Parts: sequence; structure tokens; C-alpha cells
Amino acid sequence: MTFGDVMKDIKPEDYKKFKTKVAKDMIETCEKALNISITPYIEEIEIALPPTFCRYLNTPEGTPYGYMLEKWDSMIPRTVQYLQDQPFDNFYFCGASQERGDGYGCAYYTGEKAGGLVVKAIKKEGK
Amino acid sequence: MANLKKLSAKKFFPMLSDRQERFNNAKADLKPVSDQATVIAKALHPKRQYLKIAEIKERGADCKSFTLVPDTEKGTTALAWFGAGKYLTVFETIEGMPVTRGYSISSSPKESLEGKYVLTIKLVEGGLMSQYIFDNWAVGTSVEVSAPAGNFEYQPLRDANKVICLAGGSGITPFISMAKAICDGDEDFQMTLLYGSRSYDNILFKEELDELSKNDKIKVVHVLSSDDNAPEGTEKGFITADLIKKYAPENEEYSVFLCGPQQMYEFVDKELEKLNLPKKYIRHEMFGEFHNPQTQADYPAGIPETVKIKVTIQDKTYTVEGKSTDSVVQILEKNGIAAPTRCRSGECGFCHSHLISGKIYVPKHLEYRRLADYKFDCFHPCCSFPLTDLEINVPVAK
Ligand code: FES
Repeated sequence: MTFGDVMKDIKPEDYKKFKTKVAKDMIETCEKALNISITPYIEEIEIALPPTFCRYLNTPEGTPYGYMLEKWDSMIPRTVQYLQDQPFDNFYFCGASQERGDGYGCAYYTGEKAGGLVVKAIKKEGK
Repeated sequence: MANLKKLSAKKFFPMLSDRQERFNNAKADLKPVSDQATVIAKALHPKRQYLKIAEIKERGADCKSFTLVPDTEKGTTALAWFGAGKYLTVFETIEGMPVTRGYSISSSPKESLEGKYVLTIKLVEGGLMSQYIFDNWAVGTSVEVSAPAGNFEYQPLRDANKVICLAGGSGITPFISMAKAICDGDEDFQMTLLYGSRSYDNILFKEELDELSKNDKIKVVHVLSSDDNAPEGTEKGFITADLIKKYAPENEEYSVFLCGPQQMYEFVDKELEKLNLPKKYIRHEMFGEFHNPQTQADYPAGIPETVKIKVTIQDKTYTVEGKSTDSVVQILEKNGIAAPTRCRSGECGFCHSHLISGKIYVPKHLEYRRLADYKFDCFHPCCSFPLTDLEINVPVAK
């Protein structure tokens, strides 16, 4: 609902009302689509919009999943050139914004991969 | 399968050289992102705000309102806007101890856009921070605060449109901000404020409340606990269930917001039970730091007077000693170690830490830990009291 430039005219002081409006629209849409009542049962509510992700994750434009991958720099070329991308020896990238793009799963995966490569390098050195 | 077989790795080869070429030709002039989501996040949640005291207003013998404006020399040029009801955490160093306290903002959100916050602070007997503030804050003093924080706000999707606000003493401050926000059109609800003071002469913000109650969405009732000469239109005694019922809408849902001292909550919470309101319609502002855990009925017996805490913060480990009746955060601060804090009431999660060994006591009403916290031994040092020696891991103070 806040994709694109929807937020471009929202000032910080309008944000609270805007947030509530977005949540209200979403809830009402769900109520209509599912033919159920939600609003009277709201006991606690936290609304997260792009500024929330900016605040906590520092992601560009507040996207929950960070940078969108371009075709020329997508998962396959990144994977193929992973070792070539390391700026110097024994240095491996991991985390979100890495080989598989943003997100928790990708962060775990690249962490495991980098860890594996480090262990492999240590073992090799030890021989 | 047929399609998969047609897949050829060759197709990807040009992509690789293209990628390499783009990297080689890339300029090192990455511009900082300045989309509106980032602008909003930065404007509403600055890590620190550097302010200066522009004005001090005495409100009786033991209460003062401090008007704070941006300290441009220190880099704060505008104040963060906030939802009425929020507080600021004040950072001070008192005799080498890093100390923080949260104070509700009593000015309106609109006034923050005009470059002004007002904090109204009552001198607490034996209170470390309030005494320091009363002794040291003067016009021109620099003050370091957090971004506005807290959850004590009206939320139209959750709360009823009619709100009975119950205030005691300096607990009036967030309601002043809310009432101003109603007048400015920043909030939209019907406010009935039952404000408990000792006597008519003791009422804080009396003139402001008279002015604010001219708005037909705001009604103010003064509840005076010990004033035999209370003028007409005021109520005598305490905020009881009957009194709330008297001013609450009939056959209509209403929310109750409370802000005041610990003793007021203990009394009013029992009264509220009689009204059988749905839990979601009762909201408390935190009353700040909890003291004297040993006065609680469920506090265990035989606890040593002093305890040792081994604390690791990032790559540094310290062992400190303190009183078991002080919270873990207080013990750290008294030993010159800053811990990350905001609400100091167990609610915001800012001080969320790891308990490696030892036992703690958490007063029941400050118990905001979730199941996962129990499972992974996480706790809130701001409202946890050591029962034994502890070993803990605390994040870096931000
Ligand atoms: S400071 Fe908020 S939970 Fe401890």
C-alpha cells in the first residue's frame, strides 16, 4: 500500500495519521474480503511502514527486504563470481545484501557459506 | 523437465562479463539515500537531541516547567515531532554516574515544530535525577535527550473515542500534551480528565486546564483529596469507581488512561476492577523507576544485602558490587557503567539483556518478558533486582 511514491508528500508530522489510515484501510479491506469483523477485537496494534524499516534496519526507502537485485547482478552471477568478489585473501562477505539478496534467510545462508569457507581455509593452512 | 534440459549455462556468461565491466566502470560517488521514508525515520527518531534551556517556570515549591529549544551549536537544528503522550529520556552524568530518566512532554506536538519542548518535573524526595535537575538546570544549560518515546498515546483503531483520563499530581503532563493536541486537531477524541490533587491551591497547570477545557471535546474535573474548602464543580476524595462511572458515558464504550504515582495506580487499579472494563480499554503510563522491591509481598526472604555482578558489555567485562534493593541498571550506573535505557519500567525493551547466571526478582506489574525471553534467559535490567550474584551480558548504551 505504500509502494512507489505514495509517501513522497507525507511530512514527519503527518506520518502518525497516515500510518493509522493505511492500517485502517488494510483492516477494512480484510474485513470485507473475508466477511469478518476485526476492528472491535484489536487489543494492541503496531503498524510498520517503510520509515519503520528505515529506522530499525536502515534499508533504502524503507523496504523490508533491502535492495532489489538487478538482472545483471542477480543471484546467479553473484554466486558464480563470489570468490572473485572478495577484495582480498581470506575475506568473505556474508549477511543480508549479499549473494542471494536481502532477507533473514539470505543472511543465514551466506553466514553459513562464509563460515564454511573460513573453516576450509583454516584447515588448509593447518596442513 | 524438457524446459530444464534446454537451459544452458552459456546464457549466463555474457552476464558475468557485463557485471564485471559495470563494476570496473562504477564511480565511487554513492549518494546518501534521501527518499521520504528515510527522511521521516530520521526526523522522528534522531539518536540524540541536543537542547538548551530557554525558560524555566516555577509551579509551586517542588515543580518546574523547563522549556527546551534546539542547541544548534551542538548540531540539533529542529526537534523531532511526536505523538501526544510521549516522553523524552534525559541523559545526565551525576558524580561520574551515567543516569537516565524519562519525563513526559507537556507541550504539544505542534509546539515541537515551532522548536520547543516543555518538560515539567516534580522534585522527588531522595530522587537522584530530579534533585540534580533542580540544583543544576538553569536558563542556557545544555541538555541531552533521546527522541520522543513511549506507548502512552491515543490510538483510534484500538481505543474507544471517549477517554476518561485519570491523572495524579505531576502525572498530568502527558494529558496536557494530549489536550493541546486535541485543540490543534492533531488528535481526535473526547477527553474527560479526572485530575487528582491534594488541594485546590495545589493544582498544577490550573490556568492551562481552564483554557483547554473551553474546547467542547475536553472536560476537566478536579478531584481534591484533602481540601475542605474545595470550590463548587470540584470533587472531594479520591478517584473511585463511582466517580469514574459518574463521568463516563452511559451505554457507550470508553477507554481509561492513567498517569500518576505508584500509590495512585495501586488504589485506582482496584477501583477499575469493579467496572469490569475490557483490558484493552485500560492503559497505564509507566511511572518510571521502581524502588524498594523488598516491600512487595512476593519478594523472597533471606536475600543478601549486597551482591556482585559480573557484566560483559561488548568486549569488556567488569565485576561490580551493589545493593540488592537496587535494580541491576542502578547498580551498573552507580559503578559508572552506562546501560541502554529508555522507559526504566520494563516496557520498552531497550535494556533487553542476557542473564547468564544468578537469580533476579521482577515486580509483577513490571513483568513484560515474553515466553522467548524466559526460554533464552533474557531480562530487563531496569526493573530486575538481583537476589544472588549475577553474571550478565548487556548491550552497549546508545
Ligand atoms: S529501559 Fe525500557 S525495558 Fe528497560
